[in-house]
Amino acid sequence: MTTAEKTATQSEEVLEQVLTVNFGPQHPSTHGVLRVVARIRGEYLQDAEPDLGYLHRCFEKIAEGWTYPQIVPLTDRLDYLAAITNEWAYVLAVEKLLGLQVPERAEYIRVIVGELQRILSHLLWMGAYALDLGATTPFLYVFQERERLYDLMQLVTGARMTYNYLRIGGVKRDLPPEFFPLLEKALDNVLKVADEYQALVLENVIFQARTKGIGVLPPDLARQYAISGPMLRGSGVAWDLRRSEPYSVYDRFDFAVPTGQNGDCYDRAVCRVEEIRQSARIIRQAVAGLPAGEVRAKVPAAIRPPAGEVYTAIESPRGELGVYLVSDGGPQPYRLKWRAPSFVNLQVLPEIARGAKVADFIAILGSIDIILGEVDR
Amino acid sequence: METVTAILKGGWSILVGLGITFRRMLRPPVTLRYPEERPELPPIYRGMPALLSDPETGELRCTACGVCQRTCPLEAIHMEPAPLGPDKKKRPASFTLDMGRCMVCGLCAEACAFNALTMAGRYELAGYTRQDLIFSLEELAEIGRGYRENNQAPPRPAGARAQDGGGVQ
Amino acid sequence: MSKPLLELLIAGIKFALVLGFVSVNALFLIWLERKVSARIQNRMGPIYVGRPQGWLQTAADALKLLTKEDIIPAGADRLTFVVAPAVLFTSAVLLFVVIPFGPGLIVRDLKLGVAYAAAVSGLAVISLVMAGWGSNNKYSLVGALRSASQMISYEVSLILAMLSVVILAGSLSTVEIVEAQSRIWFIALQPLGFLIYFIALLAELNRAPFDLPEAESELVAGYNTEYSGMRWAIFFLAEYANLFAGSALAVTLFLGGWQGPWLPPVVWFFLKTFLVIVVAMWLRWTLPRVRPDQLTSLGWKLLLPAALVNLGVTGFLVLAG
Ligand code: SF4
Ligand code: SF4
Repeated sequence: MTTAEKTATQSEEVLEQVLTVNFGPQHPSTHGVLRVVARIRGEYLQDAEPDLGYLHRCFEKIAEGWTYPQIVPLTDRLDYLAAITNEWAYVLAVEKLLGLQVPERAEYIRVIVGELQRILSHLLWMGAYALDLGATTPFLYVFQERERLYDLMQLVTGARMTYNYLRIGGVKRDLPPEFFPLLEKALDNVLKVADEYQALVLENVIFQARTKGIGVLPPDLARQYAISGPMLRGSGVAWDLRRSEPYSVYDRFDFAVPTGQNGDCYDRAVCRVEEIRQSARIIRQAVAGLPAGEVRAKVPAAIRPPAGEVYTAIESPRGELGVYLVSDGGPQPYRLKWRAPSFVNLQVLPEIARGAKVADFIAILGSIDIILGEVDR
Repeated sequence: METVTAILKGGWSILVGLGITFRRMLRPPVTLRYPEERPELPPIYRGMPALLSDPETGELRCTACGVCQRTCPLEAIHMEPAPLGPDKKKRPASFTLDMGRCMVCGLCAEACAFNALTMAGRYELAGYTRQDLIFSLEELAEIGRGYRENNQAPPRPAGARAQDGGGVQ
Repeated sequence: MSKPLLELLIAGIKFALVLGFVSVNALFLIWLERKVSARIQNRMGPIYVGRPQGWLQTAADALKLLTKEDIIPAGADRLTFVVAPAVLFTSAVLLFVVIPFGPGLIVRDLKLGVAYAAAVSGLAVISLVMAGWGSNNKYSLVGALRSASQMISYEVSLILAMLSVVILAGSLSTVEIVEAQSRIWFIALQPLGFLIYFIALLAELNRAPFDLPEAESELVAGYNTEYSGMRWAIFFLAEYANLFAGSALAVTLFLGGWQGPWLPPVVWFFLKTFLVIVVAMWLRWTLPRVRPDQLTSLGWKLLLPAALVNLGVTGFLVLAG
């Protein structure tokens, strides 16, 4: 075959062929090390199959060899953008096994830092999603506020991302007095940046054209796949564990559960931005109603819960974060199973991405809000 | 007609966006010019573990009880007690910290009941070799020189708050 | 010295001048873009190389890229891969030939200046397709094909918008077009034409919100995914040279070229050009990216009819007197 002939056949193949493209594990939009094997025909996606495990660190197995208090910092490393909620789900499980009563002040502090964490996580998502759609600037705007919130978290916990702040039976230490005025200011700024984001991104004609009607997830499908979090609420199902099965002291706060109507990427985005506002409301109520008292219950140094098993679930920024914990009475858990919301939510990707365009695929993947540390564990 | 309104609305949304970015343009930069400028860290900031010594005698407070070593989930601390001397005081003979393993969780300092271990504010923890990441007793004592209290100590009763945060240099 | 030789020499010097100007100018524009984006994002941008404002940063970057290893992927089509950046750069440089920087300050005042500019700017797409094809990389290929479809969709509207100016000026020569604007700039007579030209220009230049061929969140880096070192730098320089040339043409056609009171004409010309460029940058750092099919439908369904109507109305009005 001459070179010209060869080139001709090659070009025919490429034009006719379905290209198999690896999105990831090293790709700017897979948020870490997700690999999606996509088969594309021109700009259309025939199939997209997530391939997991590039960040697998044997979390559940490691946990079986560590004592109960030692696991708290380990959980930070799962969903590293929402470390507090990870710790919370875990300590709730242990407390339930122990039948431990947590001091009220500690519960309120947990709510405050937990909601701050939700804001932090959603802020990052907002920035990253705009980035996925090609707008670089909103990313830096939300990051400025995010940095200030991280300063606050650092003031409370001593670290910026992996806090190791919650303890079995309470929290590590009380909120410092200088925290409150700073919090008030930071919340104001967050609300401002949320409004700014709304005008700059959500209401932008290009953003709407890119997300409205894209990646539609019908409520039925969402239920079948056990989707939770803003993904589910975007589809119009008002399911939020803070409201539906209140844990901690969430039944005392007044907040709305924002839902969408169409279940498309746009609705998910709107839900997340609205949740930031609701979280700010919850924090303000919690600060106003913060009771005095201890922040940590008396717990023996060596924790040996009675043999048994529990399941606890909380609403993490990404959805239902469940912990299934089995104890055999020893100092280490017998089994710890992590129901990671973004792992579950990711499973629906092939369904909603089929037939989409390549550019839409990025929009859909981004709207799921996956954190690979949690997906792969 | 609908198309026209849609175009106008779309154009307007773009103008609004341009207005926002323009207003932002007038604001000063928020950049912190690290390493020329450095962040202000709260006293409880967890950098790396460091050994505390008594400010008067200059002696290490560590009693070689080994709790920190047992608490560390990652086995980053290796401590060996020294044989008892004539003053019957327990001291560590060696205290090695492998920062290559440490995840700066602070559990070790939290567990130390003798106010002998703290989380120092040092956050530049990189080294050129693995050996650079292993700190000896002397080095840890040196790093802990500027600190007086264990900043990870469990909460004290209300009222004692003012003196809290012993990591102030 | 014989006459043809002298002419050749002069042409050579002119060419060298243009080349030098294009490169330095592109480096400056890259710096400007980084500064503008930094300001918009409340950052500082480059500050260290060439204090206080880091104005030597891009030169340093260019030097660094020059010294980098030259990588050609194993499966690449060597010839196309190597030639592609040069083609893009050439097309950018060729555009500068007909740009009137001031009265008499033009490399060559072609009679068919505008037609020449339209023809030359169409060359760019060939280079991008070459790059995408030659890289033998799927992302590059998709990026290249995207750019091809994009250019085809927008070239037509771009030229139609230019034509309505040509009708007003009654000439295809860029110098004469500028001179025809001595009383009133054509943007006042052709606001729609300018808008169409500007949008189509952004699409032509692959600039956000139409930067699909190199949409980094989708296609990694599009057609230049496999490029590195100097070849990549040439792509980059050519992109900014094209940006300058396109904006300069916009100034020539719509904003009165070098005309303006008090200041020397050249200064006016550069002021206006940089204004257009800064607006393009401002847009880039504000807007998300559109989708390929939305881009083409915008081009065919909106810009083209609008440009046609604009042209028809202009022609009618000129005829009517
Ligand atoms: S540092 Fe504290 S916990 Fe560790 S051995 Fe010394 S006294 Fe014990
Ligand atoms: S900070 Fe955590 S990981 Fe590091 S030595 Fe202390 S207990 Fe171990």
